[in-house]
Amino acid sequence: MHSGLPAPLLDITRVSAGYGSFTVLRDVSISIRPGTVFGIIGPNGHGKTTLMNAISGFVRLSKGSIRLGGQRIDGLPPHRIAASGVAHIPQGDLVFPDLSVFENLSMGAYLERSAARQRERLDYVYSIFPKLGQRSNQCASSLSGGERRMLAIGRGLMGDSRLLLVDEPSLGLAPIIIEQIYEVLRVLKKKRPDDSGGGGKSCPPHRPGR
Amino acid sequence: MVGSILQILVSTLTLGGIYAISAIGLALLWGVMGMLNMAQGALMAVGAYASVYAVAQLGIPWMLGLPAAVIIGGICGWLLFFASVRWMLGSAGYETNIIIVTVGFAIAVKSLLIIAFSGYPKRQPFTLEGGFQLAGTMVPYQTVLIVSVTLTLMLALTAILYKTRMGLAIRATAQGRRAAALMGVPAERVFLQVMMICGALAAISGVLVSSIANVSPALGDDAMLKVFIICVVAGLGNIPGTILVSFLLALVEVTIQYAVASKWGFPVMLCAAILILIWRPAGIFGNERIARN
Repeated sequence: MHSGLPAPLLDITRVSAGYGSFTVLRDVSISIRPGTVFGIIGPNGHGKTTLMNAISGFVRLSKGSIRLGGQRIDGLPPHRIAASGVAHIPQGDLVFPDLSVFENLSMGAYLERSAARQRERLDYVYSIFPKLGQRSNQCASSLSGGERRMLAIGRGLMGDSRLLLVDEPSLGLAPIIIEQIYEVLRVLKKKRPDDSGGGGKSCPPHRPGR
Repeated sequence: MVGSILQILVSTLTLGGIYAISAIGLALLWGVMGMLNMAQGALMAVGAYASVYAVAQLGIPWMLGLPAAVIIGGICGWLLFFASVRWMLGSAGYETNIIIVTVGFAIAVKSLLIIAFSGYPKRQPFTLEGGFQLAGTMVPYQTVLIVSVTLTLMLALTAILYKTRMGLAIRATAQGRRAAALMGVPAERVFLQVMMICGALAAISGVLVSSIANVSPALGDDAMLKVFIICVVAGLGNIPGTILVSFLLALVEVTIQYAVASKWGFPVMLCAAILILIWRPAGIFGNERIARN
């Protein structure tokens, strides 16, 4: 009980998964402690995205288990996994193109019923990405690539998450924007204002790629 | 001259409103679930009969025929969802299979209606007699009733879709089912909500259509065809565009009926639709993003 090290936030145990009969992940075990950043680095087509999709429930496991804070989350549908505290910022951003920046961020806080906390998180996201604040009524499809990435990250920060999965945060962006994004991810390691104690952030940024 | 224009405007508002109510349902279903609902006409008939039955057999006031239709329409949407759509969503060939399933559903529903109520036309109790004079034109109270119902509904729907959490989730799911799931939106609940809303809208539209014609099992067939055309011309899935095109095509239809002859209304409306689609193949308000969905 008192081992000194905190219990792992995310525990991936001997996971195999893939698409149909095609296995992508074979016997993967990863343990991530709260308050840490964990990076997964590798060339294209080696299963980084598949691993993230397995965590957030879009890819079914054929073997193994995934636990978040001790609770098994594998086998749950994606919306239940999101509700259990996983914020997945997907590759390609997947922002809602015809919703405004504000509405996209509101969707990030879909599960948060308290308007006050929503407001607080919105202010927080606008404080780290002031550009989003300036464009809050603009349609997401009218944003530049960098702004869209900021929106996807901001949306991921709107929820009450314990684990932040960031898939390819630098993909397809200009070097100067990449710097800004990484700076934000560095800041995120520190807690958000409303984080209750104990819930750290594990953030596997994908392939630093510079 | 002023009288004719007024007459045309009044008819356009009436017809356009009825089309719009039904078309919004279809557009929502397409936008959110990629589903072409061929049972729309049958759901309209169900709504019309629900009102007839509730007023004649249960003895409730005629005004309550409409809420009765809403409830029955919503239940039909629920049934259609759990009897078929839920099990087919995301499966291979879903978008074609669902068309066939809804055609089957429509045939079954219409047959049941004939068994239960016979095929003889009935009178829709949701009607107001009389009218008033406006600048020398006779405006029936029924028209006022229809226009107020449809306008209220359009405002209510817009409010739901653009001002509520449920509406935001519906729009988000339409734009990215996967992303919405990542936000914690249970897609199945959204689909069920949309199906029930669509069922209720079709039922209301059925009550209104039958109040200016009569109640028969096939009452929705003609309207459904027009509503499909409206959805395609507007650009599938675009709701504000769908409302606008509903009134636009109703205007074309009514003007031709009034100025040329009744039988030319629909053919000319069709030609207008074809011309618009040649000019903009994805519909007036459609774009590639919606087409790619």
